[in-house]
Parts: sequence; C-alpha cells; structure tokens
Amino acid sequence: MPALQPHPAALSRGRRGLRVALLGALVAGPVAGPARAELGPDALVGRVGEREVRLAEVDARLGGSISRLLARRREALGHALEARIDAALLAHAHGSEAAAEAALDALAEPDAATLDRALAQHADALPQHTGQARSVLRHLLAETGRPRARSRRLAELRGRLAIERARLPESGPWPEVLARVEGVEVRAEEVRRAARLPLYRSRARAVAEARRGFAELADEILAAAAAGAEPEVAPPSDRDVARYIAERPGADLTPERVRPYLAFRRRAEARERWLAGLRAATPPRLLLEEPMPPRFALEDLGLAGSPLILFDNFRCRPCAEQWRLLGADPPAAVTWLPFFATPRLALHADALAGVCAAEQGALGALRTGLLAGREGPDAADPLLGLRVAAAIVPTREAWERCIASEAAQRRASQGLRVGRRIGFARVPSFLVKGLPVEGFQGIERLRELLAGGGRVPNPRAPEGG
Amino acid sequence: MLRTRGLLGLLSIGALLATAPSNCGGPQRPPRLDPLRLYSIGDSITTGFDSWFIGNNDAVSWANGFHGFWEDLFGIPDIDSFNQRITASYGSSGRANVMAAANGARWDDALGQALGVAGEAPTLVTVLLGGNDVCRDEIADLPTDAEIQSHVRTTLSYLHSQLPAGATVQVAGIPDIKLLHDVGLAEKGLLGIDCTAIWATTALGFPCGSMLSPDNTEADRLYVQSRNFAYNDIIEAEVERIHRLTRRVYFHFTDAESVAFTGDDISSIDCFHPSADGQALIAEVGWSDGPFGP
Repeated sequence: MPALQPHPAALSRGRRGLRVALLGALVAGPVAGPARAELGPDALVGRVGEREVRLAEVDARLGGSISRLLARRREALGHALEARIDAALLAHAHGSEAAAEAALDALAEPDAATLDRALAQHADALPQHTGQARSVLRHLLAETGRPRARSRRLAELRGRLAIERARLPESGPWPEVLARVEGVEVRAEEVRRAARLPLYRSRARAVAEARRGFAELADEILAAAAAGAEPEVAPPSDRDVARYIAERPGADLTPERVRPYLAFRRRAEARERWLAGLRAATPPRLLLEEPMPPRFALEDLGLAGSPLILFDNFRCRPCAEQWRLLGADPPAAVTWLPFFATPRLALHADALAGVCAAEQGALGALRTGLLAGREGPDAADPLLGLRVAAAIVPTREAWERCIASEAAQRRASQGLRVGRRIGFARVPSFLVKGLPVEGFQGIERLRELLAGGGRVPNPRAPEGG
Repeated sequence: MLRTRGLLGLLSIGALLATAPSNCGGPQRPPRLDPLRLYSIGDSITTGFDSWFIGNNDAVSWANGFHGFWEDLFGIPDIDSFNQRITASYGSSGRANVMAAANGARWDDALGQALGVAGEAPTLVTVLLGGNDVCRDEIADLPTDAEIQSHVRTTLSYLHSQLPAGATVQVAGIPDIKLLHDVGLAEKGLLGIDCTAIWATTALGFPCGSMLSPDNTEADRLYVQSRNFAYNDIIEAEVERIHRLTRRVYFHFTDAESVAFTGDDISSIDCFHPSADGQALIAEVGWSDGPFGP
C-alpha cells in the first residue's frame, strides 16, 4: 500500500448511500407552515441550465437528511398538538387557561409536613426570619412540584373528558381542525403558532441542507458537461515541500506527509477556479425559498423595552463563557432571565438567588462564586446559590426581603415560562429584538442581529426563475 | 476530539502480527453468540463527550448508553443505544456493558483498549475510532495509510485471538468530520448556535486544527475529508480481509461516513461532537446495519 495518498475520488465523491430505511414517506408529509408550499419529494430545488433538480434527488445524495428533518418537523407538530389538547383540557376543567394555571399552582403547593421537613433540612441556607424562610421554600417546592401536579391533573382529565381527534393523512395538508376537546376545536393554525420556533428551525435546516446538496450536485452536473476540460496541475516540487516544512519549525512534519497534502491542495484550488468559471457561464439557480424566522412581540411576553434578553442558568458551562464575553464587551444592555430544561430544586433556587443578586448589582459575582462552588465540597448542596448570594450581596437585609417577595419569585419563574412559550430547547438562548436565537453567540453576531433591527438576518430569496 | 493518550505499545506490534490469522477455508464458523456481553472501543464519540452535559455522558453513548429511573428523573434523553437494544432483544440476564473507549483515542490506542477484552469475554465488541486521526493540530501531519492499516490490522488480529468463538466485532467507519463542520457553520444562519465563536473560544474549544482552524481554506478541509474517506476505505478493507481469512469470530464493517448529521445532531456545548440526537442517530444506523439489527 502506498505511504499516503489522498483519496482519488475525494474531490467529487458523493456521500455513500445510507443503509437504513429513512423516512421517505414523510417527505411528502404535511409539514409546511401557513401559506407556504409543501416540501415534497417532487419539489423543484433548482435548475442547472435546462436540468431540473428535485428534492428527492438532493435528499438521496445527502443520505436522507432532509427527510429526517421533515420527519422532525412532523414530530414537532405532534408535540404541539398534544400540548394544545392539554391546554384545552385544563381550560375546559377550570373555565380558562389562566384559571387552570392558578389551579395548578394550588395543586403544586407543598403540604405543611413537607415544608417543615425541608425547612429543617435547609434552614441554615435560608433567611433567619422563619416567615421568610417558609415563603422561599414554599416557592421552590411549588415550582419543582408543578410539572408533576400538571401531569397528574392531565392524566385524570384525559380519562374523564372527551377528546376527538381528526385522522391525519400520511401526505398532503392537515385538516383545519385537528381535534375537539369536549366539543371545543383545536385548530391547525393555533398548533402551528404554538410550535413556530421548532417548525421554523426544521424547515430552515431542511432548506439549508437542500441548498448544500444542490450546490454539490450543480458542480457535478457542470463538471460532467465540461468533461475533459479540467486543467492539469503540476505536482509540488521538492523545494515547495522543503519550504512548507521550513515555515513550520515547531511542527513534526515529514516530506512523506506534506507532499500529498500540497499536491491535493493545488488540485483542489485549481478545480475550484475551474468550477467558478463554469458556474459563471451557467449559473445554477436555487429555487427554494428560505423560511422567515418567527418574531415574538416583547409586549406580549411582558418584556417590552428589552432589546437583548439572555435566557440561561448557572449550571451550564457555555453559559459561563457567554457571560464572560458579554461582561467584557457588552453589545447592549442585557436583560437576564433564568432558564433551564429540567425542573430541579437547585436550579429554581439558583434562579431566585440570581434575581435578587441582580437587584443589588451582584449577578456577576454570584456567577463567579457559584462556578467556584460547583467544583468544591458543597457542589451537591441544592441551595448553594442562595448561600453564595447571601454572602456576597452588599445589603443582607434587602437580600432577605427580596427573596421572600412575591415579585422576585414571579420573576424567577418568568424566564422558564417565557422560554418554554417561545420554544427554546437549549441554553444559552436569546431574544434579540424579538428574534429567538438559540445557543452560544459571539459578540459580533449579537451586534449584527441588534443592528439588523427589524430585518431578517438570513433573507435568501430564490435565485432566478 | 479530546486526546488523553491511553495504553500504548503494551504489546509489540511485531509479536501481534505474528499471530495474525492465516487460515483460509478450514472449519465452519461457529454459531454467532448473542451480544449479551458488550465491550466498546472508541474515542470521545463513544464516551458521549459533550453530548448532553459538559464532559463524558456514558448514559447517552451510542454504544453503552443506558436509561433508567435517574436518567428519566433528570431529563437525560433516551437514545436507544446498542446496550439498551441488546437488553430489549435478548433480556438482562448474563449482560455485561463495558466501555473501554477514552477521550482522545486514536487508532494507535485501539490495541491498548482491546487488551481489556481478556478478562471480559465479550460477545460483541464495537469499534469506532479515527476521528482523532483526522483531527490533528497540523493539517499536513495526518497519519499515513500504512500507519492506519497497521493499527487496524493489529487490533483486529488481537481481538480475533482473544474473543470467544462466535463473538462479533462491529467496526464503524469514521463519521464525515467535514460534514460536522459544515453543518455546524450553517446553524448560525438559521438563528442557531454561533459555532465559529465557540471554536474560537479556547475555554470551550479543543484541538482539531486540521478541520476547525479559521486559517484553513476549503481546499484544506477537502484534503482532510479525503484522508477521512481514505482511512474508511482502509478500515473497511481490513475488516473484510480478516472476516474472509478467519473462522472463529464474525467481523462486520458499518459505514458511519454516511451518517447524515444535521443541526440537532451536533453538541450545543462544543459544536462538533454528536449531541444526544446525534448519538441516537449513530446507534440507529449502526444497529440497523449490524448483524443483530432488524
């Protein structure tokens, strides 16, 4: 076997066919958002000269990734449908969604014995005044117990109330009414609206995949049409190899490894120049339209006047890094809301500690203290956040008043409720002038989004026809 | 992929090559053993590095992952790993689930990890290595074909000599590392994670200069991808060779190069390792393709 050879087909090798059954049937599924064309296997992705490229061809080339994304889109719709049915069940049982939420709050309230046990266990981490300690702990236990209370109530209602579901077709659009709960309609439009962020994300990813696959395929089509015209490239000389190695004195390089790399790079660069000429002569035209991202009205979320809102928590390492970046070079005033995926006593306690530390300008110090504490002997203490915050805030009295207040407790829960309503699935996440942005962000990217104002950051209209 | 070099050179390659299989034809292959005793050889993909929480996530490893009361309580995803599928299909009696995989391992660490089979008598060994051979600090420092071939051949020969008759070795190719890079980059345009910022942030980053360095050109990345593909061809050829030449153990190659990762499949912590969804996808592709699949 030769020492080292770039793969002969590396410049044109298509992805190998997946050997698993991919969800081809779902490509045709009812996946589009409102007023948007369906993405089916026959959808026209683009043209290269007179040659039409359909979605099925691109999907096969990409190993079925597009059909998988469209299947996830269908799953997101299914989850949203179930959530709307749940909301309708609760609204029917309690008169309205707001009344249902209040009833769930009451159901999640810990009983006196539970509260006493928890108080005895965590007393040293809580405010000295007994009334305040009870209030804080009641809030934490209620928040932690709320999902369980909700599940139990829903299980009971699902067994008691009438739910009629429409038959959902394997392909084609869904009916306008997807279900009835005690005769009250659950409409497709409200389901789509509730799931607009995951729906946008899956469609945008599908279109991005189609764009990527189309670009590769277009190059292949153009190259095949111009077969034999690809320029020859001279291999690197011994001098080229020696120079490359000399320029990297710290690296442990050998001519045996460097030569094929340089040869490959020359061929690849020459091929790219050649392809660029072919593309200029016969421009491939992408015809798929990218979806518009959803935008949330800050007023509706109770967040008016906050152009940059950060949703995160103290347990996530990228969150710590994000905080460091934002602190060093803030692109705008940052409104912080606690957010996490799984309800846990420690996370709720951290959230409350964060809200009250922020009130005294000590949020940064709390983060620093908590990150250090997480690696220390108290790491398992669920109320570590409260302990650390109590030790670092400038005014202890104001701190104790804050964490016992209803307003702080509401604010500690706000991020969770708003983040879930938006559909965030990861931390850190942001709302930038109402645009939901998920995941760690560089400062430049945040500046770009803030400067974009009302504009959509990735408006790629179809190209050509 | 993090590299913490493990056992190396504990046995001389020369001595092992001497034990390489040579029996063509010969007796029939023994009946295939049920995959009750699972043993994984691999790198940070198999340890579930950054797949859910920061660091290793054994519970969401495509090979050894598990899901029980505590995982459910803490909201850790159920990825339907090889280990879970084995229990579902063959029951929990007589099970073993051993992870020898280590972050940063390369193909030259495979033999060191394989040495552990001696006391375990596994009936299914999974091997997924090579990401760290593709991921080097210096783009012109990737292993030669001969080096990769030697490590693969030595490891498979050792497994052949040590495993119970009728055991299975399932070797996966290297996922398309450039695809992970390309998919990660695309996320930013979809209001998703800003991977370039993550890769540039050393506190979160890790060394995979050959693919992730912002100084690399597209031609550089295509070269690394070409090596990725070439290694896979070598691995596949070696697996087929030993299966053809021997009779005691079943060897099977699975194409992981074509696993169609998309944005959800990439870790939101480091923008490069598979996420829990990505681990589930690897498990699905590997199991469906393997000898115990549907």
